[in-house]
Amino acid sequence: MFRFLHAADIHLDSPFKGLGRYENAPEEEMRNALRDALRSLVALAIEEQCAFLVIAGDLYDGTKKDIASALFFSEQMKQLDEQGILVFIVYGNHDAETQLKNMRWPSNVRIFGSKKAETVELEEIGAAIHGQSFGKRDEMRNLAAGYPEHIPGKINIGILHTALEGHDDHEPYAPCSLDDLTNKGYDYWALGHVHEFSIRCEDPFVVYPGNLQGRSVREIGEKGAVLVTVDDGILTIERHVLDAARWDSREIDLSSVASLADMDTKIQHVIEDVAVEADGRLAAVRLTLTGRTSLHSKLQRDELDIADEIRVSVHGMGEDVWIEKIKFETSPAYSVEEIGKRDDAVGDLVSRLADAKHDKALVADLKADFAEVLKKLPSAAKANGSEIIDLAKEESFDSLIEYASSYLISQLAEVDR
Amino acid sequence: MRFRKISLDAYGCFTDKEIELGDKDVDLHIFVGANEAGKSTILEGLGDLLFGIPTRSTQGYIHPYANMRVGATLENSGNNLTFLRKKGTRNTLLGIDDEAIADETLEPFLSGDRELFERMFGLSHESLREGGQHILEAKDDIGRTLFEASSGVASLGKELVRLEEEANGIFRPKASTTTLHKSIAALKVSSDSAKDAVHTVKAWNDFTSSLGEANEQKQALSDRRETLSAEVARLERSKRAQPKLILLDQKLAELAELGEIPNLADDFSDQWEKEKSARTSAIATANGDATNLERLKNERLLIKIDNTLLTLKDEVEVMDGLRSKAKSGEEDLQNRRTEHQEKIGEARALMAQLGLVGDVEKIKREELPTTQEASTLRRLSKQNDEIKTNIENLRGQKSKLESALISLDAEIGTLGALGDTAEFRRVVNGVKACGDLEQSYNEAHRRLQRSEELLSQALTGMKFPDEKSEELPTRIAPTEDQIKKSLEELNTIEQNIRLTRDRLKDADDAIQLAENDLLVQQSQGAVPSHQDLSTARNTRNDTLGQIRSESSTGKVIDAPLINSLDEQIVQSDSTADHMITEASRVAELNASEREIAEKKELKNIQSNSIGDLDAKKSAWDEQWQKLWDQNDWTPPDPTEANDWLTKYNSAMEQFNQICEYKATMAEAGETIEQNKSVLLPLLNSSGISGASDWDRLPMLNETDRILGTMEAEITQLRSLKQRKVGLSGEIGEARTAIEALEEKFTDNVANWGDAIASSTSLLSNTDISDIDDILSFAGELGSALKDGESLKSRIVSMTADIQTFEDKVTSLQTNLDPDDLEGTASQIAAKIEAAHDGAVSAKEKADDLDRRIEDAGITLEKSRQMEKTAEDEVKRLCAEARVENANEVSDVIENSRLKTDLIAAISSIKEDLANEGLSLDDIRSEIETVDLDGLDARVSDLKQEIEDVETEREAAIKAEESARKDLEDIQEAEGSADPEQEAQQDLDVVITNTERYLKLKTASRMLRWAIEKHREEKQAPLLKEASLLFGKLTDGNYKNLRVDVDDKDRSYLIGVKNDGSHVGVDVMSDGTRDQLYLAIRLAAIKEMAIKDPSKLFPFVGDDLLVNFDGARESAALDVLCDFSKTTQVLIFTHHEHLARVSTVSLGEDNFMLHRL
Repeated sequence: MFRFLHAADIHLDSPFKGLGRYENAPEEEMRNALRDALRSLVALAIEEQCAFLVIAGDLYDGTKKDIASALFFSEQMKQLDEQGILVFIVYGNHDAETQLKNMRWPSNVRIFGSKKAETVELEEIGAAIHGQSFGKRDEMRNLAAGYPEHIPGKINIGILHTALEGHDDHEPYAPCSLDDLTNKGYDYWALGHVHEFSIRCEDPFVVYPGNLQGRSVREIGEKGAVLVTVDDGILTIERHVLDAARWDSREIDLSSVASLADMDTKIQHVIEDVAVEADGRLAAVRLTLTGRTSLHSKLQRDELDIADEIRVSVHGMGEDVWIEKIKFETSPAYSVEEIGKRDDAVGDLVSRLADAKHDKALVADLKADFAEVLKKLPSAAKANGSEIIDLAKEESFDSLIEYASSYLISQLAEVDR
Repeated sequence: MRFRKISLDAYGCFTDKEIELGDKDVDLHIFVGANEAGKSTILEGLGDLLFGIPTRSTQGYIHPYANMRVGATLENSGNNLTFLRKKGTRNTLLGIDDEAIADETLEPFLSGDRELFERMFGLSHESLREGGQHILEAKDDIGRTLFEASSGVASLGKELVRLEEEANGIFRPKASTTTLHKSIAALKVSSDSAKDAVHTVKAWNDFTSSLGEANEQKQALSDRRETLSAEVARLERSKRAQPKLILLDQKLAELAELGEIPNLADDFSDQWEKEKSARTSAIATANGDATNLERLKNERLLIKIDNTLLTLKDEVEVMDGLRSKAKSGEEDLQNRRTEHQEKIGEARALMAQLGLVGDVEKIKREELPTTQEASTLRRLSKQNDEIKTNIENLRGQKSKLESALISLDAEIGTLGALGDTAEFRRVVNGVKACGDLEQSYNEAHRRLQRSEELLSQALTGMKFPDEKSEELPTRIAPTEDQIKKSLEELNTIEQNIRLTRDRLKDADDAIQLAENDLLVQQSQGAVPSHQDLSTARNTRNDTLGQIRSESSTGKVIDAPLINSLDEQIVQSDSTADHMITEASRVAELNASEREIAEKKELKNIQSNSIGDLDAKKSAWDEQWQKLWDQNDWTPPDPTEANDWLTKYNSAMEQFNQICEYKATMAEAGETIEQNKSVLLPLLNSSGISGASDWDRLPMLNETDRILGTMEAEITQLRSLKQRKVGLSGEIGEARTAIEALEEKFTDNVANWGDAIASSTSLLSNTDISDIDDILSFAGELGSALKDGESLKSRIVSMTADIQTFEDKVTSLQTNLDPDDLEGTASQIAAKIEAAHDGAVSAKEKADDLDRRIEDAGITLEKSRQMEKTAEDEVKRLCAEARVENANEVSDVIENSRLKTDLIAAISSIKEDLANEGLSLDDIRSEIETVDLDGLDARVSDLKQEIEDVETEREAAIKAEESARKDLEDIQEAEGSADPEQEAQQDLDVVITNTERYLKLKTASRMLRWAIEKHREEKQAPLLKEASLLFGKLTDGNYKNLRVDVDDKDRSYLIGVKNDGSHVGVDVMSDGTRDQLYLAIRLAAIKEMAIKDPSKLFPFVGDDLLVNFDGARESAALDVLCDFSKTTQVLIFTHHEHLARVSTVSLGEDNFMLHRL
């Protein structure tokens, strides 16, 4: 009987995205979350007396040249080495080209090469481990096809970073079909690349453990690794949640909310819920405020201040929750169409706003405004994927005017109410 | 939509209140009600009626929410709807049968939501004032002005400014301190930090290699250093060990020579000396103790003891006690006897004092008065004295009062009888009061004259029709406000005339200049026409064409023809050039002419303006004349109007004073006349005579003084008589008191007799006045008798004590030697005591010696034991030193010490050598291998080599440390803040700011654009209507509104007055701006009406006309009356006068008055 741990997509050197600055934010705790998760992984391997640990690609995010993460990883691997626990790693698309590859690893770490699939046989426990790293980021070959056939009489484990037959949110690297994998006669396919935990097949096991620690609001919910127990040739698996911080995203419907105080109360209830679900971990949560509400214009007008107030309020609750972002997606309580139909000056103004995008002079002015601000922006800000900045870059004035129209109408409708 | 009836069935303070609004075309309703009458309730009720009662209505304080009802009959385009509104969230409309009706039923009557109704169709005094203020704030933004005023959206401009300010706060292209700039700067800093913080794997590997190499080198050098150091140590050891080995061998030889010597302990010598001394000391002590014992035994044998006496110890002690008592009695007995005799004599003398006879011994103390009896006797005696004294005092007092009464009677006699002065006094006071009044009258008259002078001065130069002050109050001059306002208007007109004349002059100058330019240009000659130019060009081209044509046909062209053609071409070209030059001049001429035309046009405008202004001035003159005409005042020159006002005010002040003084005089005169009619008869009857009524005043003053004296005497007499009555009373009281005391005296004397009789028979004849002395003697006698008895008893006791003592002595004598016992009892007793004491002393001494003999025996025994112990110790030490004789012990001790020293030296050397780390044999062997002669040189060489190695090793250590530090730096950086994470967060901040900026910038641009578009389209019709209304609302003061453009191309609104002068909104009065705001609002509603009159709500005004002056108030009512034909107008006010003004201005048929 032996056990091993299967983890993937650790992205150890990846910064957290979207965490704005504000006072009393739990920055350090958040920054350490990835490492704390890795510490938990190592502790679990030791506690369960695992024979080895498998990391199925994207150990690094690949964005950094800095060795700090590698050193940390090396330290952790040394701890496993002291316990006689081996580590098998393949590189995936993110770390295929990382410069951290050249790090000298402790002797228990084995990294599979990228030229062809390699096999390590562990005689003592009767296991054969097959793996192949990505040689380049956009590996579009079917690597699985090149994996050796299973070695009879041994527990065969394949480590592969792959999108399988494609995944909506992931690049289709090292594509292969489930059949390609199951036909190899292996006992367990330790996959990486997809960040959500999923068992694609149970006989044999084809498993994505998901990533070890969520890094942005796109990676919400529990994260961890899979513990595999092999007893008399029978495999059983158990998922372990190891993330140190939890990402969450909540939509808060303000339809029935008439005051900022009521909104605050509602948000506090949500935050309490987030904290309960995070189960003692630090939680980073994105709040999206929605619904038709009389607060709409105020929220639009004072969104930065209100966002700050919400953060202060949440901080005051004493919960370990970081407000990652607050999105203001409420709509006005009144009908924009009705306002536009009025015969008075407000109705006139509102109906005119719909024609704004056809006014060449206005568009030219906006173009000049955007050019000025884009000129000042660092390239990183322009490339960050902000929807609004992208619209400005693309000179998509229609969409921006739509944005602004909605804002203005809400203000016009609320002025002097 | 119009209200035809409003029903406040159960709403706010109203119950079953119905307001009928009729159905006239002129649909103006004025609701007048004092505060608290429910004006605000109706205003709120109209909104609740049309759009529903809010959840938290404030109007449910009388009627519970469930019962609240407000209703109406509405009319729109000929359709009527009567309904009620109840509170709730659904089905809140009820029909006349109180059944629910569908919400949609009301929709055709509504043209918008509550917000539109309240914002656009509702206007209060406060919002009107606020709107006027916003016009002022938006003065250079016509679009904003028109939008805000017409829509009722009061703060659109502010919203635009806010958007722009917030956007500018985030980013301005040329600024450097905006939020976005700052966040970009922060991002740059953190990005740079992140870059600086990068440590590559290569660097790590390089540092690791460096560390390994330095470590290996350091290790090799350390090894070499160890080898060399070991060799140096070996050589230096040999060098050190050789002399020590030689010394060791020498000491071993000396030890062998000493032979067998007992090993004595280190302290043996000390022990020996100590024991020897102890033995000598013990022998001496034992001998001394034996001598002492013998001496004590001899001393004891000499002592004899009388045991008989010792057995009588108790008896002797008793006798001793009796002896001291008897001795004390013998010494005092005589004194007491003498004292007793003296007391008897004393008693006897007192008896004589008290008149008693006989033997002292026979007088009994019990017969003397007791203390209590003596106290009673003394009290009676004292009372007797007091009564006698009081009687004497009262008699003296009575005598004094009787004397005073006699004096008082004499004084009263001198004052005699005085008559009544009251009537005289009234006359005098009355005449004097008349004198005071006359003085007041005269003073008022004096001041009146002064005021009349001042009035006369004040009126000087004033063009009254008749400059008589008496006429002043009958005519009302124009008020100061009217005059000042009129002057202000004149000032404005004249200023505008001056300004326009200046402009006209400027225009004349400009025209003159332009015409001069034109003349100069025209003087440059006639200008060829375009026809000429065209002809010249055609001729040239024809000639050229001719030449080309002929050349092409091969025709020979002769030289003269060619020359001629050439000339033609040159001439044509010259003409054309000239023409082109001239054409340019023509253009300039045309421009000059146009400019002149424009300037003339401008001049015409200015001339027209002058005309307008002159007309305005004439109108003003007429108005000025009218202002004065109505009260028959000659109007002053406007330049002197202010002086006129000052004089007029001063005159009015004096005139008022005059009136006041006249009133005072009239009042005083009247009172004087009244007083005279009463006083004259009195005066005549009083006997005070004089030439006339008022000449009597000096005499009256003298009478007044005499009357004063008389009145004082009357007062004094009254006081004396009152005092006499008091004195008589006091004398009577004294007499009664004396009688009472005399009676008391008699009783007291009787009580004395009883008391003395019951007290003692010894004093029965004593007088009451002697009782104190008698009682004193009696007391002393009692004491003397008592002391005598006590002394006698004491003498008897003493005599008994002496006898008891003598008996005891006699008893003891029988036990003692009779030869020694001669003399008095006391002497014998002394001898017995002495003998007894001697026997006791001998016994004590003998006992002491016995104890000391026993102690000396024990001491001697101990000394002998110690002597033996010391002897045994000496023998033991001899045995230890292996000698029989104690005298040989010292030699043995000396040899033993020598041996010990040698052994210690040998051990020390061996130990020393052992520290070299090798055995003695190994050291001997090692020394044999070393060349001792060349040893120092060899050590020096080796040390030099070690130094060299050490230098190299230190370099290696430094290299190692450097590499380790590099690695540590990387590891430390790993543990600190993550710069890349910080840069990522700064990036997020930049993005957030940028997004916000893009939204705000777009929004502000769009809002400005939309307002401008709105203005472009709406401005003309809106302004046209607003101009009309503004003119009416200002009671014709303003002709129209106009939009002007300033030098920065900003359009702004101005009012054009009747005289053509322009007034910017910034110089308009608050009231005029209010009227402007109202004009624009009403114009906007009219614009809506043009589109669809059914889409109008009634216009509701709340105290709208508060700040309108009389004329404009009437004008506004006219406008609203007219406006009510377009849409219903409801005006609420608490000013009652508005009802009157409306009636006067509009006539009763043109509005409906509703009183709340």
